[in-house]
Amino acid sequence: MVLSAITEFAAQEPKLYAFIIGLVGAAILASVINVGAMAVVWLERKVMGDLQARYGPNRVGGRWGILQLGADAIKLFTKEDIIPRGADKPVYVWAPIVASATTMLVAGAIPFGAVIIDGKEIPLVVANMDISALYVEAVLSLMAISAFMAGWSSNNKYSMLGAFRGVARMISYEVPMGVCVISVAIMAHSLNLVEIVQAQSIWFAVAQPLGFIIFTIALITDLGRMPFDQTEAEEEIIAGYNTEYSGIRFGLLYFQEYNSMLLGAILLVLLYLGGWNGPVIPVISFISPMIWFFMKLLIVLVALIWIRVSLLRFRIDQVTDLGWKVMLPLSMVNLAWAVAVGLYFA
Amino acid sequence: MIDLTQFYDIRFLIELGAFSLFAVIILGLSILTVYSRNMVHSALYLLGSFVAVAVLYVFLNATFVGVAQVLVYIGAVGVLILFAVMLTRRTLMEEESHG
Repeated sequence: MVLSAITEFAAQEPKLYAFIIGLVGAAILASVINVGAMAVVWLERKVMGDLQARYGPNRVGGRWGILQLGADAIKLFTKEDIIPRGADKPVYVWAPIVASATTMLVAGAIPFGAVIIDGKEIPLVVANMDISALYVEAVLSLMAISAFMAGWSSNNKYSMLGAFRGVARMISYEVPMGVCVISVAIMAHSLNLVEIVQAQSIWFAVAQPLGFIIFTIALITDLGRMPFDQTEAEEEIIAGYNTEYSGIRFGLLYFQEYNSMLLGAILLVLLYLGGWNGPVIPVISFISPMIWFFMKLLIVLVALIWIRVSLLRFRIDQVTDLGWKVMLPLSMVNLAWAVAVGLYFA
Repeated sequence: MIDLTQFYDIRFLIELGAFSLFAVIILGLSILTVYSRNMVHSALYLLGSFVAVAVLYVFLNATFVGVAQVLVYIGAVGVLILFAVMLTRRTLMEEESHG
């Protein structure tokens, strides 16, 4: 009933409807994404603790340390915020803002699952664009800029090195990642993330395994996680581009990392693991797509954490070599494969 | 001729306001790009004006061009400019910015 009233309004005033949906969606999105990031931080600390045979957080909020993330957030946001004297103040201040704005822009176009109402699948996405896959890819490439701003403005040699490594790493892995997204789009005959999910009667991870592997590696690189975290290698350059940051600004940069980890994992699920597709669970058919989606998401997140714990860090020249000499040619092979298979089964 | 009655339409006003806002942002950032004494600041202002231009394309219902603008001009050209500026010698702008 409410739904039909909404659809009627949407048909009458499409522009106003889009405007209102945008505002409401932005508010919901900001809270969901940040709470999700806190959950990811907690998950990472807990899983890492288990994998390294220690407890992880187990004091605040009962046995599982669930309130630890809230305590961390309060600590970060109430600490003293120091701006170094030699820093380039406007750029230094803007870097965390650009960082969080980038993740919010990515989040706007990503579907966070779907619900089934009256037998119809309704994807939960704020901006359902025709070219959302390309959009997400484009906005992900902005992450290099915030890392550069933070590193350059701190006026610190270590920060500078971190920013330098970050930009070099990101531009070398943007390309294979983009080619993988294009291969997926060719096979799905669409650049819309919702339609890409709906096109996956078999998972694209099965249809193009090479692309899946390349995309996963490129994603880990883009997120700056363990085997590729030269940007903030603790043993070499203190903390890389966010060495000089403290208080709420450090909190924003830190949260941006986990926000983008969450969004990256969601993107991987959507593009290659069939999104929210799965058999309908009879009694709770309303949220059965969400259940499948979260199960896949959880597996991907734990896999990312597992990779972080198990592998050692590459050198920066090895990373860029791998990017240009191995990943790029292989992603081209995958593109040819996607075109051939896509045409054969079309 | 401008039909004055359309100014009473809330949708038109929203669009007009948003367009003016982004036009001012583009103009301001472009002027700052030219007049800024610090090369890195110039590059960052340029990136900002690129973003605003992408928004303008979206206003014209050309979403793909807007996304291509972000992908090509900010993701590739802009980052390349930043990279080049980072490699230049700091002494050129030393007296202006970092002490």
